[in-house]
Amino acid sequence: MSRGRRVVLGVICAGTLLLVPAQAAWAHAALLRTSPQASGTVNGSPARVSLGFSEVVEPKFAIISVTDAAGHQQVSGSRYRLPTDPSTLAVPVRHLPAGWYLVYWRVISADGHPVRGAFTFAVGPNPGPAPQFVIPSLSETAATPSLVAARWAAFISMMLALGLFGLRTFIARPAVSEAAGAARAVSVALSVALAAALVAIPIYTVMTTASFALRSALDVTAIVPLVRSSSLGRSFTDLELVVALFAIAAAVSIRLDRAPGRPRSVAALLAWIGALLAAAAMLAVPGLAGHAAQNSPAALSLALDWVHLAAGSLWLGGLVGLLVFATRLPAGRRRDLLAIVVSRFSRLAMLSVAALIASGVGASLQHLPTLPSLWQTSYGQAILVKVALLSAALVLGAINFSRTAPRLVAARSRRDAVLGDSAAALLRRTLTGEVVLVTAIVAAAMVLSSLPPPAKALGQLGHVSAHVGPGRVTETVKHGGYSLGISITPNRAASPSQFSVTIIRGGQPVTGATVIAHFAMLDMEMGQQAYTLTESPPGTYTRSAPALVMAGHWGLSFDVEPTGAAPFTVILVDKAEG
Amino acid sequence: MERPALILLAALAALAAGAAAVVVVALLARSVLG
Repeated sequence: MSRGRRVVLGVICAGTLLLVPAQAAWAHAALLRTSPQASGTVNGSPARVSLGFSEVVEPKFAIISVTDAAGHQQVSGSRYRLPTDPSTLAVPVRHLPAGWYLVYWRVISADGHPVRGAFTFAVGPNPGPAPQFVIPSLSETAATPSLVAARWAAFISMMLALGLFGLRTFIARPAVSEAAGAARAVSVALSVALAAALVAIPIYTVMTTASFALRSALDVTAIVPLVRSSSLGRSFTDLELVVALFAIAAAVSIRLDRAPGRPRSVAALLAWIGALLAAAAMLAVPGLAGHAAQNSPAALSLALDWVHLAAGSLWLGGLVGLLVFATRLPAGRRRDLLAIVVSRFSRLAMLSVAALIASGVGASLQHLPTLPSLWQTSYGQAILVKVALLSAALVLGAINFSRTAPRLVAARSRRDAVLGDSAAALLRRTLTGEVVLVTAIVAAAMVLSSLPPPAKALGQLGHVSAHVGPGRVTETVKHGGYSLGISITPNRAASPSQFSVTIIRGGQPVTGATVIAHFAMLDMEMGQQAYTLTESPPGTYTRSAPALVMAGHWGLSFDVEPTGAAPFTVILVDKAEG
Repeated sequence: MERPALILLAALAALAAGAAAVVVVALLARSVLG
């Protein structure tokens, strides 16, 4: 099969993978049930408050606070997992007198994202009117500059190590016998990248564990015992071990490949296979520690993540390796050896970029529920930044593929020193530009993997009639011959709001209709709530409910069923602040 | 020990390191994916 056909076949296989439909799944720890029921009233003090999540969450990093209207803490002991249901956390509470209580919670998802929320409940029989609670901050992100920088340092050093190993033991191998010094320089760069990865990974792990535990990262004695308490911490300590194993296998593999001009000896081949196995294992860990493992089907998203990281590593490490290799080549043989290595690398880079784009598009299709979420959510915007930077890097890559590599080959066959030197100078400039851009792409990827993907509820929302909030809402929406006056007061998170819909048709109020309001959290996965609105006065349907249980964007669907007429639905996207 | 034996031992150690890395990640995958 020709190379062109192989490329086409690869693209078709990648395309087929993309057609596998993504199923809805919980991307984050979502609060599914509470006891007492959120917004409900219980007769008599409960012994404990329990929160049931969509996944097992670690009690060590969880916060559950129960406060009364005056802000006094009512929790009487430490939080624990229910022995019968490990995904439910509970805290014992004091004897609660009649009144309203605010439950504020914060847990760490399996993919390392902090999730916070709040809800209220009342102890009866006469709790009185719901007070306006002061709610602590409901937003927390893993995408802080210091965490993103530490994550970037860990990933970039790991990717560089993998790519430099690929360049040294595969791409540049035919030229190594004549360029021992240049090969040694690549090996030194590989050692530096591995050492940096072995330092950066534990630093990131400690920093991220500190953020889970809401402590300073400098409080190492308190943080280290907690490192393996989180799923992310366990994955990254395993990654450190796997990188160390790769370092051993890679060092042996390079040391045993003593006659690079000839085929590998059996011993060198065994060591090379060992290093490749360790490299393959290393590439799987970030997917297991992040969004990919939480998506469904997990096998597909893990495979896409593996291909994406492998292709990115070969490209980035190859570029840096080529720069190091080119500067250390013996002056007399520089052009000829460059011609061999650059043309081999160009082909690998092209395949890597095709794999990067295919796996990136596949992962985006899995994570983005709607096309507008590509530009409306921070997650989508981070993808667009990656695409823009990649396009710029591709222009430079295309110059290398179509100009630099053929010129170097032509200069070698024609023994044209002037053409060879100008091509080598162009190569240095384009490679440096590409390295800068790819490094920036990895930084954008680190922001992306630190942000929660948009909720699947966004894809199920349908046509949105209006975007409203924050603050008090009065909005008139037309639908068919109907005019709906919608008001939400005060439209604040975790406090009761008055939802009211006044329906008018032909200047007359529409009476006797059934109106049901559905509330879907759009920024993260969370169960839907629905309330039936009651008619008072005629034609106006109202309900007071603390339905907006956390700050952020909410999809509000009003299902209207007028008597003797066709039912319809009006959808608003509402922003509620804490 | 003869030099060829040392080389083979080193190669086997590298292969074992690679296999160990795969086992570590397989165990991690089992714990994450249940």
